[in-house]
Amino acid sequence: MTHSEDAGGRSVDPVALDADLDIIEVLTDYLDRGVDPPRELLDGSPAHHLALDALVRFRRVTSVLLTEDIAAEPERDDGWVATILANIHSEARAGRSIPLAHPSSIADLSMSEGAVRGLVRAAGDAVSGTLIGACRLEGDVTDPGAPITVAVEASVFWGERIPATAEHIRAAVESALLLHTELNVVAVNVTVTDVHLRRTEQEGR
Amino acid sequence: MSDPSQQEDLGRDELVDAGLDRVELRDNLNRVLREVDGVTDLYDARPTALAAVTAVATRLTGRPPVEPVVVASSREGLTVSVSLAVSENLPAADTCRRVFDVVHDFVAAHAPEDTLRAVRIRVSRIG
Repeated sequence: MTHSEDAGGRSVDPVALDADLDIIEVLTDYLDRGVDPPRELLDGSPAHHLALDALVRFRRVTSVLLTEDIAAEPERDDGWVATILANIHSEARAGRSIPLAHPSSIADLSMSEGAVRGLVRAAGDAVSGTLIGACRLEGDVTDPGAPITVAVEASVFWGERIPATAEHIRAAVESALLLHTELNVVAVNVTVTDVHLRRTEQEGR
Repeated sequence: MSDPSQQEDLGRDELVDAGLDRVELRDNLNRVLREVDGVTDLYDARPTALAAVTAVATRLTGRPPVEPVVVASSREGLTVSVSLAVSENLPAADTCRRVFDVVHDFVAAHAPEDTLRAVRIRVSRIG
């Protein structure tokens, strides 16, 4: 099979996705149906894989938010849900090439900026009661040793202690970057941009 | 339109006079690299635009999908390109270097040492 089908049975060309299709919309269709996106769709691009990972986490977290909170979205293009989904889409792209050291003269080793942004988002999303809205790598990541600042925007659930939660996010992001990358991270700045109401147990039924 | 996957086959006869030819080398690397500790997936290592054109050509011609690892040749020697997904349980940079070592050692074992001009390894996803 060379084409996939979306939830409506429409043919989806994996090749065209990056160009003019909304990968978030396509992946959401599959998740809404409760089926795994086809392998060929994910193998076509690491960006699709990164977007799926972030989308699955996003849906898991938002499932515990008050229905009214999500319904209060004024416009798809303006609301926090749409903003996060748009950020997931754009951050999954490969972006700049981040060099990795190796003594061999024939070695050209690197990490994509998209992979690192995905790492940052995953680390932040793993902190209980939070949802990463956006993340940026500020500085020249293509220059080994250049100072890099990581800017993270996050939403927290009502009732979480914002300073402590922000510190947990910062520590988780810093730890992940230290383990996996060779970036000279001089700061991880966390900005809490939204507070959301959590669905109560009764409302969740 | 020329088929990029055919273009990749050009020059295979001038390769590796002892051991594996380039296509065999590519196919073997695709198998071997999936077994490297920390590697969870391989992606098409061609530049995005070329990978897209290749995918279209593959679909139109009904040929099987191309292998993600790219082994290209020139007068200066071989260039091996790899795009990886790696596990979050091991340091990604170390996994990347481990993959380089495996490529280097595999080519050295199956082709003359001086034919390896460059090895490009890119970590495209972590976790």
